[in-house]
Amino acid sequence: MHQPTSSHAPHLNHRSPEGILLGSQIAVESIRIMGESMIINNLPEDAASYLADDITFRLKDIIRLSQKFMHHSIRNRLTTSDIDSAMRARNIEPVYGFNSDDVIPLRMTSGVGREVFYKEEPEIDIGKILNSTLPKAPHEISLRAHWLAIEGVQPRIPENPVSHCKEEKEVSEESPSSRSPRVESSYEIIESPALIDLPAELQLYYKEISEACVGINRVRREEALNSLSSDPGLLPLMPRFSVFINEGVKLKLSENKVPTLLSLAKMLRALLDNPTLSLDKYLHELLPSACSCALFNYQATHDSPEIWNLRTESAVIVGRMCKKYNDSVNSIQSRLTRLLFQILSDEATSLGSRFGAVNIISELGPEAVKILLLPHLQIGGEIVKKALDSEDTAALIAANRLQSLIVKTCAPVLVKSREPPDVVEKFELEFGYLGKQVWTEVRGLRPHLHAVNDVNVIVADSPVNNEEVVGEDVLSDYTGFTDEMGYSSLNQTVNSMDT
Amino acid sequence: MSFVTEESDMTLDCSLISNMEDSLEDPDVSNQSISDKALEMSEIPATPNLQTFHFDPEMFDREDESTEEAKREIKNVFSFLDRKNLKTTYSALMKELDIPSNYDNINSVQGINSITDTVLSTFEAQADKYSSRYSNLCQFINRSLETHRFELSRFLYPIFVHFYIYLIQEGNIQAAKSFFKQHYLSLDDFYRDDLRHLLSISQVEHLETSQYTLNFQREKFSIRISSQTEQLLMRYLHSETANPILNTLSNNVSIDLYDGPPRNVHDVSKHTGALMGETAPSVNRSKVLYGVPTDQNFLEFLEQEANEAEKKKKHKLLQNLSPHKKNKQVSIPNSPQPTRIPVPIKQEREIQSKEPLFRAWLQQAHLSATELPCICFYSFLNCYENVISISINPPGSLICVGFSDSKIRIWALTPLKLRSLKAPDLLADLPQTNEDCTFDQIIDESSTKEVQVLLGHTGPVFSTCFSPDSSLLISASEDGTVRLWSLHTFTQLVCYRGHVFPVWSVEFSPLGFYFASSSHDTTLRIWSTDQILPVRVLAGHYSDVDVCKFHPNGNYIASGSSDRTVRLWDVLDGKCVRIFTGHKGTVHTLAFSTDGKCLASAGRDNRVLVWDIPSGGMMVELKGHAGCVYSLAFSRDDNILASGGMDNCVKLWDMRLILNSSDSDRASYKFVIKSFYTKSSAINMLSFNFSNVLIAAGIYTN
Amino acid sequence: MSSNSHEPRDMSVMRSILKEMGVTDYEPAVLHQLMEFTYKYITGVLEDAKVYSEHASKDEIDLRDVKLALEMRLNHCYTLPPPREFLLEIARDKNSTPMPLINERFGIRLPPDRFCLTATNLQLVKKDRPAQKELPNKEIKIPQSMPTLDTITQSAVINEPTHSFAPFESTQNMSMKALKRKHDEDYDEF
Repeated sequence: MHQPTSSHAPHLNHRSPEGILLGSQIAVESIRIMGESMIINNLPEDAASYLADDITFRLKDIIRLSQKFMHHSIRNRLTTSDIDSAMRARNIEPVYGFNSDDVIPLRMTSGVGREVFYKEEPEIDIGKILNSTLPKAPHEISLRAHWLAIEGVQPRIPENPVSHCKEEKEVSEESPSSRSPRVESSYEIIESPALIDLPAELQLYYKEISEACVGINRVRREEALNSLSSDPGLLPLMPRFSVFINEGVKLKLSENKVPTLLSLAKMLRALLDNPTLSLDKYLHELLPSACSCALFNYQATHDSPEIWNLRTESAVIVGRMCKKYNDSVNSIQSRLTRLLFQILSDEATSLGSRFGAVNIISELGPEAVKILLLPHLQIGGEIVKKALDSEDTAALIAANRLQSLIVKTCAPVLVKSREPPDVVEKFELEFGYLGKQVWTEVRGLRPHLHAVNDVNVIVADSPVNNEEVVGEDVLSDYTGFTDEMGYSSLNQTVNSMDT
Repeated sequence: MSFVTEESDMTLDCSLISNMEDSLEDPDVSNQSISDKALEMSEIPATPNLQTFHFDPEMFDREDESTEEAKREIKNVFSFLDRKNLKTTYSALMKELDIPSNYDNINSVQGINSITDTVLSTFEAQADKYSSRYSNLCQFINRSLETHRFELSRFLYPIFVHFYIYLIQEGNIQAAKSFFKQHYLSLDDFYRDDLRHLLSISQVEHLETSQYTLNFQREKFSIRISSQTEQLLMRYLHSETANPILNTLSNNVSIDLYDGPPRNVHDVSKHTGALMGETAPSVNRSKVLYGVPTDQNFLEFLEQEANEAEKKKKHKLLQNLSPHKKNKQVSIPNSPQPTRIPVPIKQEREIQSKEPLFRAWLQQAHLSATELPCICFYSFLNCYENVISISINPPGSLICVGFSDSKIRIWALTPLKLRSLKAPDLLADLPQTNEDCTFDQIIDESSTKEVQVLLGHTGPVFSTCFSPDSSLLISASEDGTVRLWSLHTFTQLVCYRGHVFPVWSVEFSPLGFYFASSSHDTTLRIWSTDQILPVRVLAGHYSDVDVCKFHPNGNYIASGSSDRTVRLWDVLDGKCVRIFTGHKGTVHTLAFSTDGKCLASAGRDNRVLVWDIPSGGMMVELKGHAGCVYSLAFSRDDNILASGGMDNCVKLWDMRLILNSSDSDRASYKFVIKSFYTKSSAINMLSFNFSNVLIAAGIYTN
Repeated sequence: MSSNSHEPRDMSVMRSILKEMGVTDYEPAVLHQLMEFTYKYITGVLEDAKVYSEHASKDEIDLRDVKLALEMRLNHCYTLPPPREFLLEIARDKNSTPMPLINERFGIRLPPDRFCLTATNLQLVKKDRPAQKELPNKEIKIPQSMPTLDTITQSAVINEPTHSFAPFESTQNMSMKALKRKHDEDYDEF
């Protein structure tokens, strides 16, 4: 048998023999029933089957013609008006009553042995209809214009689809000879951002946003941050933002300008929050900036809560970035944990930096806490004790903060990993100076042991947290790590570093 | 209104009956004479008039009941022949039925019975013979050499359809259905729609109420094969006697032969798909004046501009103008005389209104594969599936939408909104001479609106078109009328009734004054605005004409149809000068290139085909769309072809590359430059304006 | 579309017919519409067949009656576009005449006035209703005899003081005069 040639008309997808073999027909029985409804009994078999053939042919003819009307109306859905038009074109009297949208469904009763279907005709009280409020009028048809492409590039405005995958397909479909030099800029990892290439609007936007973010006007800043976290068209600006943040951080760190750093951190946070942006190409600039903000040893003349806010904020950012973009290629996680381990083990690190490090660890999840922080508690405890004993107010505050943070971080993990009962002595033995506080915290967190007094006592003990902590509650972030592999290798690296 | 000429049938019958002299004696004779004729003609006929007789199909309907009746009928025939001593008729009948006999056998009742049985058995055998012949043909084709196979396979479709029709005509419904089910898979995919329709035909009477079968019965299916292939086929077919295939071929298939090796599968499949087969290149040999003559007004405008620039010493402007001048002054070859189609003289106001367009033309953006156009997309919101057709006027200042509730709405796209003329009583007050009264004075400023609604049609409006000077609008609708509207008063001017069936598409000629409409009644009609009856009627398509488009020089018109062909007609004498086959689905849109050499067509088969008008051949087949293509547009400098459709995607194709690449490259190269997706709007309309900005329009639905 | 509830067999047959024709997306009302059409068609044919069989003094409907009924129906329904030869002939006739000459004219070129829709429609202009407490019923006398056309039209005019035809008509006449095309231009060829 001659094989059919390849499909030139993909819409004809009736490849299976059943598709065209259906040959469905109105049943002869139905014709009989219709005859009986007119008191024509004993309709002969041949007449009934002839009629069945004929009505099927007419039906298929009508459907075929109404498909033409549907095609010309540039639609895919066959509507009752198409069938009406088809009947009109064939000079048949149309079927009345199908202009409205609602369809009365058929209901079934089975009585007298046969199933009977009927259209339910409920009685409607006209008074009720008249008295009810009018339905909302539909909107009038309106016209809107937007640019689908500007000189061959599809702008990322809300009216255009946001589809990275489709663009990728196009890239592969392009014939080599016609590739334009200025193809989708979003896929080029631009080493040095060429300021000339962006269209004017984007340049303007960038200027405005960057000024607003680090400016003084609070309202403007918030608006800018809002825009950054939700705007879909920012991908081409990413390299610029990344450079901006990086340079800004470097500069301001050396100048110790904490408020600006805080604004930059918030900016980075907003970019991270934007669902349409992908920061993975800029991590090499952004992650170090965020880490530096968190771990830097700020030379503060007076203690301001802003530094702590900054550290917390940047820690959140680092943690998020790590979670989102970690993979086996860039192995951020392992590098980060190595760095944190180094920082914690180094005796010379300041309290502030330790605070930052602990914050990051807490962001990374319970696994990180277990591996990095718990072993560190002994030494940490010593340092805190030393600082608490010292006279320096700044050190005092720092130590207190660090202490509470450590406690807050470790306790929930311990609650999950260790079984009750909790024995004070064991905790003190294991964790040294901080052991008791950890123990109280743990006990406080255990549900059946929950004594309000205890918790209050603990809270009252440590003079902490009169200021607001920017960002979310760190401890509540228990999403944890699913990357088992990362942590097993991490464990190894940590252990190997011990020796 | 019935166009089947039943009167002629009756006369034919009567003449035959009157030949048998005593036609009124027996009460059964009237039946006899008809069934006589039936017996005579129910063999594969030598004449093509298969549809003009009615005969009793019951003969072969139900085997058990009607065999008795059939026997009775045959007996009647033979007894009649015997009674009237019609020896020659008898021997002719026996010869045709291939039954050896002599006259004497009829005399006895026994003789009649035996003859009856033989006749019946031959007819029953015939039902099978189609199926067996067809499968033999299939086997032959499969066994033949690869080089010949593809060309030979073109025969399967017409033979299949004809055999099915024969079986239905003989009343052998069961055999027809089983023949269908056995063999339909041997045919190509793109014929499935037709085959579906064919399967639904199950009675003889249906054959006359289906345009498809009527076409097949009355017209010839054309196939193009090489002479070598033809020899092979004929050798095979002549090896069997009384071959129905041969009969079919001689009656209903026209074969175009060419010398040379048979074509390969790609070349063959490129051109197949049309309802009535592939056109012979000889059809496409007539001379077509495809050039587009330069607009005299444009040349004058250039002169003017050049003079002004010289006066003001704007050297740069002069430099810009000179290439245009050079291009335009060369006389275009193969272009028609300006007076070939009579057109009214342009009036001063019209010429003046064109100046901004000329200016835009001079400043048009140069497009190429590296310099892509800007695409402006107009979306219509809140339309609840009502919008059918969208069209825009050439300068891009007005957009018109036809709705399924028979309204037409016009939007103004420029700040200069829609204004209508003053009321008649106010107009009467104005001075009547030209110098004193300017156009602005007759416009009523208070009537400024952004949207105007035109009411008048009584059915969904399928197509609208602006006149070249944007003062008139024509619209086509399902009610069979074409209406002319004025864009100064926003009222109806004329209703042209000629098509009785739904009109699918209208278009104004680029020269103005003439417009064309294409309809479900398979014709195109060319009208002029001052004639109530059409000026030309272009008939020839086998199925309804879905789209029509004028050539840029206004002398030719192209039409795309449901019979999957594209035809090019000469407006002057109404002759069809080109037939392009190759589409595998209905053609929904056409576009001419600005220089008039190429024609692009696209439709339900998701492909865009570009045709070369001078030679009549296919330039390239552009695949890539995932849905039906509903709009096409060439850029003003012909470098880019844009296409859009149901897959929500606008694709840009590189015409320069297509024209420059040689024949062998064209088949496989991917010419798409880029695709742009919309959120969820099908692309209803595409058009390049004078500055080479691509304007697209569609409906936005959630 | 799987329906848990039963549906009449015809409906499922209709569904499969639509699927066979390649229609996958359709409004649900389409099924009902097609079923109505089927019922109407069959009952119409059977009714006609009954009439024919009674005319031939038969007891029951026969296949021939049904066929005749269908044939009669085809005379006025189910019209196809005209056959191709017919159209080719018409086209040949039409296209053999040369293109019509174009005469000097200005403005929009339209067919003769009687074919156009440019005639002014009547427009009802509402005038302010003067304060009338009572309807002017006393002006109508219920005529004893058959009212003549004059009285009726007169009373009609009097009864409707809110619609003023008269002043509009005068402006109409003026404007008509200005815009009406000159008589010699109003030629027609038919």
